Amino acid sequence: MASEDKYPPRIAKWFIEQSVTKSERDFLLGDFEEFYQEIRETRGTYRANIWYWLEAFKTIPLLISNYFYWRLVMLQNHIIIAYRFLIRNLGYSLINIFGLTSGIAFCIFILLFCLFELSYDAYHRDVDRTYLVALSRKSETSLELVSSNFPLLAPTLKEKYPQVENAGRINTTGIVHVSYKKRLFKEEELWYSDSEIFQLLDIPFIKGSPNMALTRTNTAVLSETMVKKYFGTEDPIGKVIRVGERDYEVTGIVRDSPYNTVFRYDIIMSWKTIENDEFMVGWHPGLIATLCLIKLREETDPKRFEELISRLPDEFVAEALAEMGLTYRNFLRPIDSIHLYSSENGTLNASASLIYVYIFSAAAILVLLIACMNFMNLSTARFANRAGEIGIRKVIGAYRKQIIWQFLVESFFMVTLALVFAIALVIAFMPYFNQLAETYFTVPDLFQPGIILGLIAILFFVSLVAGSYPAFFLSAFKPISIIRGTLSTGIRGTGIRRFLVVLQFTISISIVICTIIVHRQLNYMKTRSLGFDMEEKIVVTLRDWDMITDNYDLIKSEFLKNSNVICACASSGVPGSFINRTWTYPQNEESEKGQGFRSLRCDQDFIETYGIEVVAGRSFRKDISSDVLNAIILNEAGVKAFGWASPEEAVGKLLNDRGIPVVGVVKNFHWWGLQHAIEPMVIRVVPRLLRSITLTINPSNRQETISYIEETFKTLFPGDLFEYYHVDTNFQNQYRFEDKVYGIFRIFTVLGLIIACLGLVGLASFVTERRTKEIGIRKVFGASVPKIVTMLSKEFVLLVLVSNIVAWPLVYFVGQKWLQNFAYRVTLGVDSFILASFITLVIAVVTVSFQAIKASTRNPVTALNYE
Amino acid sequence: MKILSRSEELVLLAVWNLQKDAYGVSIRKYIIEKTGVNWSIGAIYVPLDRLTKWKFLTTVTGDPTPERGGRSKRYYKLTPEGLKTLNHLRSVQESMWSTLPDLGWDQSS
Repeated sequence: MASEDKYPPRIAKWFIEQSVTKSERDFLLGDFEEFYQEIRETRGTYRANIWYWLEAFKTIPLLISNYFYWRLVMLQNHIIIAYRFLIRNLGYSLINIFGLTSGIAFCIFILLFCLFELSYDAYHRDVDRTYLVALSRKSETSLELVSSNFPLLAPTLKEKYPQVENAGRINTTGIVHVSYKKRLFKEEELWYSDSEIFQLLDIPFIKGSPNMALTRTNTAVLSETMVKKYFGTEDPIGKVIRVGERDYEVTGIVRDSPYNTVFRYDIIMSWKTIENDEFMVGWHPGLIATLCLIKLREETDPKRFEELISRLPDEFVAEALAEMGLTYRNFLRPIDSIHLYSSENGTLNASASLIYVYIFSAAAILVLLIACMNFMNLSTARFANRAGEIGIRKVIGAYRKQIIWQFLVESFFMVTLALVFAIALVIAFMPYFNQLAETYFTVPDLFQPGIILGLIAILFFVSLVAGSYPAFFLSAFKPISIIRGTLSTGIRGTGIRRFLVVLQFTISISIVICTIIVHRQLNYMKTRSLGFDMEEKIVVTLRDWDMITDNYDLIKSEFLKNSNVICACASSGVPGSFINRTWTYPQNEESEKGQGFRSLRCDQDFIETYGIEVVAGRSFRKDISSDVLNAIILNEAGVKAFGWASPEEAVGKLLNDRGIPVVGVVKNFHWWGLQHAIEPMVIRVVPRLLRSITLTINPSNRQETISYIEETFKTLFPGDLFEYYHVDTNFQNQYRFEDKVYGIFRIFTVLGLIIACLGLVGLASFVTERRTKEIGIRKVFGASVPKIVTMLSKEFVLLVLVSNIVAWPLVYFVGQKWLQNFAYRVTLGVDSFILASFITLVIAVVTVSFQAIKASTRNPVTALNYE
Repeated sequence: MKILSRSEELVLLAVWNLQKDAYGVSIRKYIIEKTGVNWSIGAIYVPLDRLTKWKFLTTVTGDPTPERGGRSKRYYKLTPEGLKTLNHLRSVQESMWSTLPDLGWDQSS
């Protein structure tokens, strides 16, 4: 019969197969097939198939309930056992959980930090096609990338290129005085902008309309905070505030700018206001202070568009550029990558922070790994307590797989506990972290999807990593040897545990050395002689550039009337603050030697006040009238930039077309922090464009002197805001980022060491416990306590020493790489390494001998009765 | 001595009756034939399992047969225990039937 080849549907058969035990499977399926054949013969294949399927479906509920029921029963059992074990070994469990908790808490902080860094400017609509058009400036000798561009670029792009959906521009103002009625403050985050900017960046309006707010001249939009600051509860719309020298009508209120943007704003003023200003019309190679943002159409390929507009500057300023020997090229920078990647100079506060995201993530993962290893070590060290249980489970019929599951569930349980504690810890320590890392996290930030996903990932990762080794290790015992008591103390186990200790300490030692290196470098940067004096100097900044003209001597003498004011000078900037570059060249040698020099403008007293050493020629002198405007002092770097052999050779050379003579050369001094190399600099006496007044004061009676200065300032510039800062604190502010890194590294070190030591405590207590009897016998035979302590500590000391050897070369490479970020850096000395090793060794010895002493001072009688 | 349920009793009887050919399918077929009612699969297999658990039946795995997709059958055999129980059951029933007062019906009806 051909029909005999017909068999029941395979899938249905599979269902039935799953629902019966192995021993019954064969005959039951046979029976079912017989029923099936019978039905098929009497009522046809179709009916038989339906019947078979129905039977299969009937098994599904059973299948499901069985599946979950038995797993739940086992799960419940595993959790109960884990809980009991935890309670019974409370001390050990607390060590274990505490290690995990601190590791996870650290990870959560780092995760918060990294997610925040990565979130910069990612929140704008159409962020994937919004770009900053930046500029590369190339001369024969240098290449400089700047984030700003020509003021007329944005409208030109919008007009001429159909690929550009929208274009807007931003001009930042720097520090400006803002006032409304009697309220007068200095503000920093101010822009001039077109209405288009609201189509490019997400700046939500509370009052007013994005399309209308900036269409007229002298209008401004304020952030909520600004409104509160200047207007309180008053309605600001239609009111007039004064910004710098102009009045603005408030036409809108916007939400405060979020923290995660490089485009920070407090007040946005209409571009119309400055449209016809001298510097905003026309194209000139020197006038590139405007940020140009564009949004491309969806179908536009950014690469090709970039190529298209790359040479645009040549269309407008080709001649001027050729004259200066410069090449300008446009390039696109996606706005969400400005914060992380950009290395452009300019008005944007970009820090290229991606490297720190990497460093911190690596740190977090390392701490987590140490915590995991700790967990593994402690769990397996305690295996003796569990061996009996595992033996019984196996005898009763547990498969190895089930034991593995049990320990995975257990680690999952512990990690969950640790995670909960960690979250509590994070919430408790959040203010400290914010202070340290200069972030603004709040508790709700913990519930963003990224963090929650991260937590789940951490939960599973740690559970698996920390749980896997104990699970496989413990499940491998042969029940017979456990029950007979012939179980050797897990010889395989000790090897792996030693390895884990070495690994843990390698990481800890590396971290300690890194921290020492960071500390040394920071210390070096802060204490190195900068080439000028910055102690006891305070700086008063004036409201605008044109406030000191030829009257600077008069102004200074007012301050100097007080005998506690020792020196005074005026300048365009002070060390640590921004100063411009200017195009400089030896006369008639522009095309070969032209270069951007930092340009400092000051009065004749600047060099003396700051104690800058003159190495050749002379300083500016008041009795030589030509020193005003018509004399230049270079620094040594400047001399070198022009290829002159010695400072003496430079004196008397003429610079630029006008042929301004070099009258002197000063020793190199650090205008900026030690991250940066000293740049060539020209110093000139220009009685206009001086905005900062530096006053050296006598350290005694400081308060009195400062109040005197304030009074004088107020009589000299009535109505202006008096604010001052110290040159040294201002200068050290440049190391804030490094300080931040150091702060995080310090926590990292402490955590790494604590966790590693916790592991050591657990391990040492385990080892001494295993050797209780041995210690007892040794004591009976007359061993002294110190001898026993040495015996017990020896192994661990050896392990820590091995870790040192592994860690050293590793850190050497990493340290070298990091130090290369600094133009001026410490050398990596052996002493840092030895110090770190010493620290870790001492900590390890103290931890272990604590346990050893406890064990060796016990009465041998109790020791011998043990077990 | 255990008092069995009707289905258990029928299953036991069927196994005894079928002798060497007593396995799931044949047992069900036999019972359906004798009672004239369509017994579900569960109604046969559940008592079979229970009786096996009580040691009234033992199982023997037969040789694989081709018409069942090459799977072997599980044959059931009465244990002495099962036989005793069945006999006991019978005697109980018989004694109860025999001492039945006349209710006025013809017994054969």
